Amino acid sequence: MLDSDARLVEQSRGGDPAAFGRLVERHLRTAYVVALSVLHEPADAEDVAQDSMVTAWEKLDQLDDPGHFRAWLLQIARRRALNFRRDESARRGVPLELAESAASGAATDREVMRHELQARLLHAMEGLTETERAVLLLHDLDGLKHREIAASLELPAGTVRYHLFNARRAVRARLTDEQQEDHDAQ
Amino acid sequence: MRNDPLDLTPLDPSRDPERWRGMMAAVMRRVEPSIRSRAAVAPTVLGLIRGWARVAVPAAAVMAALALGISQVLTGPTGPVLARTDPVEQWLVGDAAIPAWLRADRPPTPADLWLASGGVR
Repeated sequence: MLDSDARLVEQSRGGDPAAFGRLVERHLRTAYVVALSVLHEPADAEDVAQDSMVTAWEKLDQLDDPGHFRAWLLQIARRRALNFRRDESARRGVPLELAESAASGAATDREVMRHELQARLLHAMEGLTETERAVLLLHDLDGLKHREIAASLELPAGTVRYHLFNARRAVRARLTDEQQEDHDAQ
Repeated sequence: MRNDPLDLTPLDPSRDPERWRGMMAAVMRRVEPSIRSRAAVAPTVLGLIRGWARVAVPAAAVMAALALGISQVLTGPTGPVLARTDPVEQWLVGDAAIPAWLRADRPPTPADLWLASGGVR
C-alpha cells in the first residue's frame, strides 16, 4: 500500500531516513518544476529544488498539517527560487554545465540537442505569467491533476483550467511562429 | 482549438535516470546525518511517560490543594460545635448549665432570675 505523505512526514520526524527518501522521490520533481517556473533555467531550478528539500527537512517540525507536505514544499521552492533570482539577477546566457562540457569537447550531440529543445520551450514560455508557467509545468510535465494543482497553488480548480488553456495556446502559438521563422530563414 | 498536453519532456530532469538519482542522493547525503541523529534521541515510551509525569504530578498536587480548600469552604469547620454556640444554647443542651431551681422543681427566686438573665452572682 502507498504510504501517505502524512505518514512519511511523521516517520521522518521520528528519525527514519528511508521515509524522507520516499518524500524526496515523490516530490523533488515538483519542487524543480515550481523553481523552473520562476527561474527559466533548468540547472538553477535543479539546485533550488535540492536546496528546497533540505530546507523542508530542516523545518519539518514547523509543518502543522503533515498531509499538506507538497503544498508546503512548493511554497518553500517558490520562495527559494525568488530569492535565487533576486541574488543572481545577472544571469549567464549559456548553462554553465553545457559551457564546461562543450569547452572540454565532452558535450555530445544529444546533450546539445536537448539543451536546444529546452531553450526553445523556455523561450516559448517567457510570455506566460508565473502562475501560468507553474500550472503548465505541474500539469504537462509533473503530471499533477487539476485538483492537485489547485490545492498546491491555492487556486480554484476552474482557474487552474483557465490558466492551463491559456498557457498551452500561447506556447503553441509561439513555437509555431518560431518554426515558421526558421523555415523562412532557410 | 487544440488543447492537448504539450510535450515538455526536454525539461524533465528525470529523463536522465542516472543524473536524477544523483540529485536525490545528493539531497539525502545532506539530510541523512541530521535525520539519524534525531532517531538517536527519539523519545522512548518510558521517556514519554517521564516527560508527562514531570508536568502531571505538580499539576495534580495543585488540583488536590484547591479541592481541599473548596471542600473546607463548603462544609465549614470541623471543630467543637459548642464553642460557637451562644449561652442560651449551651444552657439548654448541657446538664451542668441547668439551674438549681429548675432541677429542684421549685419556682425561681428573684436572685435566680437575675442570674438567668445574665447577671453576675
